[in-house]
Amino acid sequence: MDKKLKEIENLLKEQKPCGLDTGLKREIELIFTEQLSQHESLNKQNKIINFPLHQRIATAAAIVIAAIGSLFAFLNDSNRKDINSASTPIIGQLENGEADKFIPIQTENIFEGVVEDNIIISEDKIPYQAVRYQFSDSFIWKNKNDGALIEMKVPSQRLFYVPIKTD
Amino acid sequence: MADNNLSEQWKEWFHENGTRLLLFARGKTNSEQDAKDVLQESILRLWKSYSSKDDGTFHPPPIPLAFTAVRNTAIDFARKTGRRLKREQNSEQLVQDSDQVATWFEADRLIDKERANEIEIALKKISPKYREIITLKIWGELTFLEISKALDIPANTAASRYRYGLEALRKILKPNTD
Repeated sequence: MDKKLKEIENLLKEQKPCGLDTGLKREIELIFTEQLSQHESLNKQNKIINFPLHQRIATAAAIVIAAIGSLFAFLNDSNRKDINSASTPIIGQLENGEADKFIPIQTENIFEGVVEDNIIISEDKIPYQAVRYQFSDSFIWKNKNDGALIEMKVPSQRLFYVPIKTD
Repeated sequence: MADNNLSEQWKEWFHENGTRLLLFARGKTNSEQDAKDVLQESILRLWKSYSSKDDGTFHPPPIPLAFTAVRNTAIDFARKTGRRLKREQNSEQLVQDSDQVATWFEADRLIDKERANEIEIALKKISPKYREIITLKIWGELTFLEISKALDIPANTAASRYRYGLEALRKILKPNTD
């Protein structure tokens, strides 16, 4: 090595690194002493999964809730079977109750008048006269069994656009 | 009883190597407090790794490995504190930190203190690559082979960086000797 570099090397070697202050030394020594047992227990803690009391309670509660849920599901299922068995005659009654049905016997479409509406101009620049034809639609149903009648009248209208001659 | 022996072995090992490890940590960090934190963390890591009876390793680690631990911890520490440092870059906190930096080397006489201070400043000025090699070689008392293993670089690279580092220091400390 170069003589000048050797001098620098020797100069550096003469320097001694400052010692550690007592605070830092104590803190680091604590790692070797107090933490010795803690460290080992920490290792064990990392390996063993504890099952604390609240987890046990939570598990028991979950089991109880699941059991109650299953019970209600069972009851609901059996109840539904009862409904089915009870509802069968109702369905039968509906099927057999054709006598209660109403049959349409009359429909009418009555013309009531014409009303002129606005005049509009189409995109082709042709004027159209809107004309409303008003009707009254009536329907009558009759029950064959007791002769009861149901009558319904519905107003309706149809709109026509009649081109206006401008010649 | 065995635990006490183990603890004493580690204490003895730390008394022997603590100062040089702290010096290495100082070269890797920006402040004295960071260097102490890095040293403490790296010792804790070594203790956790090497004191486990399950592994059958009771003895303190070889010193090159301890330097590696300090280096890795300093890298992790720099990553963690990088954002904080950026945030504090313009604040007074950083100024206070730099004011609190302790001297790196022991000196009793005033002239020695001046020399020690010059060397410390010079070491801070040179490239961190050179600084770490010089620290490991001079005060860590490692061979180039050990340094190469500790820093995961070829031994020749370690040797050449050492020479470049000394040359850089010479230019700072004795600029008129060219």
